[in-house]
Amino acid sequence: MSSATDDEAELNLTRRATLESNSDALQGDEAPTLPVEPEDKYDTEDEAEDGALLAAAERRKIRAERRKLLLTSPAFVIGSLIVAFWILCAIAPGVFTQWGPNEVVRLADGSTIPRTGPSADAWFGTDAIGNDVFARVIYGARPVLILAPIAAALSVVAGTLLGLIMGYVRGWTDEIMSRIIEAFLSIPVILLALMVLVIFGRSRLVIIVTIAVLFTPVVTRTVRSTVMAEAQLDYVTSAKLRGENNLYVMVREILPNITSVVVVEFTVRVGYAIFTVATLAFLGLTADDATSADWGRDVANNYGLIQADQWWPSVFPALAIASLVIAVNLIADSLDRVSKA
Amino acid sequence: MLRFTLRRLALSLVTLLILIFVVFMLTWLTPGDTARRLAGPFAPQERVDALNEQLGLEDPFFVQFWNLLVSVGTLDFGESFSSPGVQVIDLVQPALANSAKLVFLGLLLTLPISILAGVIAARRKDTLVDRSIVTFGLASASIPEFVSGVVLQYLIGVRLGWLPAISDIPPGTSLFGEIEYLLLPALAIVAVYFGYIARITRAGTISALDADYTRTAYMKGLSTSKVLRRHVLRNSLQPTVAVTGTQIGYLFGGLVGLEIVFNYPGLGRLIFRAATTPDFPLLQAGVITVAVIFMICTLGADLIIAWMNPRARMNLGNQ
Amino acid sequence: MSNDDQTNDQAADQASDQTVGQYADAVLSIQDLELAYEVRGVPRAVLRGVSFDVRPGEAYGLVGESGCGKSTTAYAAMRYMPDNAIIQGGRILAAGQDVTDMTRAELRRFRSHDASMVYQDPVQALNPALRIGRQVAESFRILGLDKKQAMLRAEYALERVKIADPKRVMDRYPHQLSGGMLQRVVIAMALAGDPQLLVLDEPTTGLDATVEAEVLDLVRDLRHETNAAILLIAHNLGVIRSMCDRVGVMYAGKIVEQGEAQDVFESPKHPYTMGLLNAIPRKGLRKTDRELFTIPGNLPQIGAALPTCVYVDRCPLADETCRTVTPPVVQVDDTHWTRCHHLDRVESIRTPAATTNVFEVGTETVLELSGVSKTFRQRGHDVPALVSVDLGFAEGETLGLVGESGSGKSTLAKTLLGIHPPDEGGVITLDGRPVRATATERRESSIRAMQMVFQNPDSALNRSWTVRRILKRTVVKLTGVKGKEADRRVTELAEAMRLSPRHLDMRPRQLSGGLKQRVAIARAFAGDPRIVVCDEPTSALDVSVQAAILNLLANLQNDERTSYLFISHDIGVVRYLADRIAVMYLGRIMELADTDQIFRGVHHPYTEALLSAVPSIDGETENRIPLGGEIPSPANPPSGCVFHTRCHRAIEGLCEVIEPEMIELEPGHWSKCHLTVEQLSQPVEIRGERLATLAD
Repeated sequence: MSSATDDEAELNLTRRATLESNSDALQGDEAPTLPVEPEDKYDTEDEAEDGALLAAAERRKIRAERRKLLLTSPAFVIGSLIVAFWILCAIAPGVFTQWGPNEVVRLADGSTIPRTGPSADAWFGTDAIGNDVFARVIYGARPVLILAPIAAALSVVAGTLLGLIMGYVRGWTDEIMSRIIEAFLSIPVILLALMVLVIFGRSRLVIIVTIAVLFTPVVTRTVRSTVMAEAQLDYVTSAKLRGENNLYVMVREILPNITSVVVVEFTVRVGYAIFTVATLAFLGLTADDATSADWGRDVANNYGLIQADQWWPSVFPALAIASLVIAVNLIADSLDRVSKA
Repeated sequence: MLRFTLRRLALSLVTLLILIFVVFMLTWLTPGDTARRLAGPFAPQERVDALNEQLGLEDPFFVQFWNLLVSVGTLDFGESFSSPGVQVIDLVQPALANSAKLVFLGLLLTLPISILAGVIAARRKDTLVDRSIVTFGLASASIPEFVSGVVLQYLIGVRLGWLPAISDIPPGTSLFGEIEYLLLPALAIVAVYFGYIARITRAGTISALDADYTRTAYMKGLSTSKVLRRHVLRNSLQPTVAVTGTQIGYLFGGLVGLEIVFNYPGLGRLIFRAATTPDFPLLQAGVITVAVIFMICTLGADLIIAWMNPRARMNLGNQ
Repeated sequence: MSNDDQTNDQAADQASDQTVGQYADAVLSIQDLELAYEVRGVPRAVLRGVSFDVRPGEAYGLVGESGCGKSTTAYAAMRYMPDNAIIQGGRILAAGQDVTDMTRAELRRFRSHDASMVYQDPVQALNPALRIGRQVAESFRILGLDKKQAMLRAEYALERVKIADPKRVMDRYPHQLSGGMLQRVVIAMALAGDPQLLVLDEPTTGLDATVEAEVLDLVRDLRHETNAAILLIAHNLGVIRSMCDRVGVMYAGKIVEQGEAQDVFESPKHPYTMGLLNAIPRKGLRKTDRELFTIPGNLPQIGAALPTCVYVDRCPLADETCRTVTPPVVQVDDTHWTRCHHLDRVESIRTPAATTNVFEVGTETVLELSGVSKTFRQRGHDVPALVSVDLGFAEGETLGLVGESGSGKSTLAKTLLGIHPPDEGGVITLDGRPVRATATERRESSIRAMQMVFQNPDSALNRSWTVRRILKRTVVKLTGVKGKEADRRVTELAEAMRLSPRHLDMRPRQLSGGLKQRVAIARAFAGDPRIVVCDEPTSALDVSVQAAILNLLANLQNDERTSYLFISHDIGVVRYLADRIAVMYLGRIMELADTDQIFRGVHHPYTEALLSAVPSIDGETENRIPLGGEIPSPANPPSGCVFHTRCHRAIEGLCEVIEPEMIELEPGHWSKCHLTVEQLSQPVEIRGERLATLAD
């Protein structure tokens, strides 16, 4: 299920290319040319200085404008606040709740209240054992926020590397790698992850590496198509004409021009990694022991109770997952929007 | 067109071959003694040896791989490990049929509304309507399907009681009667895929609306509705078709969580059980089935796109 | 033609009374049009009071550099504007209706019956998913015809635009047709409703000169046939001159001069028009004669406040009056007016004096190609893009390379530079020593000896690098100097290109097109190259900027004695800069001669056709030789002489059988043709009307 956004990204890429290639008569004709420049010796040096100052100011303005665009985008602000909240929960859960994840809620009189709906004593209610669902939700942020960003980062590093090589060097390497990537993409990530984890065990390391490996093809495909478009540009030809080697062209010339794509891709991948970690946990494939707080597993352990109208122990962790993934995707979407503006 | 189809088919076969190899490698690399695990810890060594012999687990690497290829070709994966005496193919077949029903219903609900929403959003680009559709789509697509499944199950199945909360279809239910049981998981599919389809339709429609040929159509003096129908949609829906093709592929088998929540015997749940048992023949057969379905769906999508756009026909045919 | 009863005489009388000429019978009358684009809530003025009339049967041209508002005017006439456009004042009257004040239904009727448009890029203008027939028929369906009738009319419409086999064309999809053919289709659609007004927005930009000439011929014929009023927008002054009766010169959203084409082009009365016309190498001007005229400064930004004369900041005549008083419309004669205070002094604007550059061409050959071929593999077929090319470059020489697109010009450049290796057997020698096939294998001295200036500086400069980094890396890589010494060299280079030191710390995005191209030239010259390939270096630039770049290239050559391979589709520019010219067709050099030889006396039939296709700014009408058919596919070149299929002098039984050798017509003048000088100098009879045929 991880590929729609990538298709969309790919569509956007091709779209951008066509937009750039056919100069729209209306916009192309009237596009303001930013800086003033001395076009020949008839010009005075003063005007040149003006032009430079203007351009530098323009550059600062563009940056400030992008920042402003981000900070005034409600999607970005809301997304960031939610993510920040969950990160705080992962770092210091104790700040938010008096109960531990495996601590049974006891009222002032010492009585326990298992299977009780949301109330002043337990905001999100209690589960079958009597643990505080709110506490479990707060503590449950940790495993997901440790695994997902690391896995996403690894996949983006590997995917960028492969994408650079495939998109720039092309030829047989590209042909063969493309087929392999396609093979990986023809199976839902979750199924492959399932197989790997069942076979190799389920330590944190295995989960991280598995997700990283399974996400790499998607990242590679996105980076590859971006690099292919870049490699068509004449600055690459120009670098070859001064005798630069492939490594230099890829790393120093092309890479800086695809960073915005990579950053957006990373954010999108974090979202999907959370999605995947939660799904794996739901399927019972977590690295931690069976009692530790984990959103996905808490949903799995408690959704059966829904039939008995005890919705809170499963619905709250489910909403926690949703809120985090949505927040990350809101950030990714705003970054994407701003980088294209 | 034929040449294009054949080329495309050949590429798919290569991809499938690689995938089968990957699947084979994974099971081959499994640590531990499969026969011992199957026979149980207390079975005599002879029994284990016999099992090894019978399953060909001691065969050299390439012989085993070849055997798997033969299995795929003949659709004969042998007996299931977990249900002795039952042919793997007889387990896969009903699961595939079940998945197909669910996917079909899900798409039937998803496609019309999400395409409509995407076109509306594109036509009103950067307005509140557009932002709402896009943001709602993004949010709904972000939620794992088992999460929306659980929420729907509670709200509609339990709280409101409008639909069965569990998709355990009693035997003897008519095909039409099954719809009632499938509606909730299908709605969960809508929740996940509405966002994808609407967003991709929006992007495609915006680029078609911006295209010069759309300008030409307006300049001919055509009305907006004619411009949309005759000129925009035919071009703008191509990415939608492509994404739908891929996503149908993922819906077969990718809905593990959803099928578990609703206790629905689809391919995803089958593969999940096969993996956790572990039942390797069943696992291999299941995963390869999913891959084949995926390839058929993407091929179908490509053919539809080629039919919609002669230029794409040329490009794809000569890739 | 709503005002048929008004006679032209009356119209002329009215015109002389009023400040801006208005004709009572005008089909299109734009009056004081003020239009702005709203950007983030702020309206930015694009048109600042545009007025002109176009009468039936008349072709009116709008010229000006990019950003002057000419396309906006054209689209406004059709009321096709982006959502953020606001009409702040003035009126647009077309076909007797107020265009700004129409209901949707009226607008649809207006576009289908009264006015229509032809666009810049015909490939994009047609729907890729529909057959041509259906798209043309649609223009008739909207007039109320049924399907069958519409298809019949579509077929006739395609015949009318001189397409040889309309039925087959109707059956094709746009991607299966050439640009020229597609533009004919677009014109056929535009004529469907017998419009009174036809707006053409850069209809031939991006087409080859040979195709351009055919499209323009067609428009000329149709104009006489239909008596429609034509508004033609083009940045190419030659196109305007050869097509239009009257022209308006636009600058910063205002028409600064208007008059009959001949008057405006031969005796311009506005400093901007003068500058524009003098910036173009015309009337056979050569680099050895004088530098090109350049216009200082830049176009004002969209929406900038321009209270008085819009040209004041760049005008050599500007004085206090110009800054305080808006210049009135000054009539030069009945039809010709200008917006300038200093009509009397316009003539005093000096063109640059004769150049002191000598452009000494050495005798020794720097670079030589012998028997160089390049074959690409495409879909299992061999496609020969270069066939046995022999060329030599002397020190300080410019070799101009011309030919239609697809003739192999760029392939030649790239093969020479080692971007892709030539086929086995071809030899490239530098100073007499053979060099390796690809740049990466070449030794440092060969790499630094050969550099390139690209067409599009946006693509050629790494957008995330600063100018300093771009230049320094090149200096270090090509010359081996490092540190302070390299920094010094970068500063020197920048100075030589007249880049200010501050530009060094900017990124390409912050520079204008002209400045970017200077950076690209600086980079090419970083390692003291022996030969620089210039691949259409000015085709993305406006004429005033182009002039400065051409001057720079000429001066650099004079100082450094560098050789140039100069590729351009603009024959005038090639003529200005080149010492010798090579004409390419289907990967072969058809003719090679000194520039003077090419432009006088006899030449290869292909060159003859090519030169006759160029629309002249100077109003000369040469006997145009139509180049029939389309350029054949290089994958499947014609037998014998590859040009025989389109040649107007082809000799049956000879040309399609035997491929001619390169022969020397006169000293230094080589031509690949069977015909003798005598045969070539015979005037040729052009048989009948040529139709556009499908290339299969």
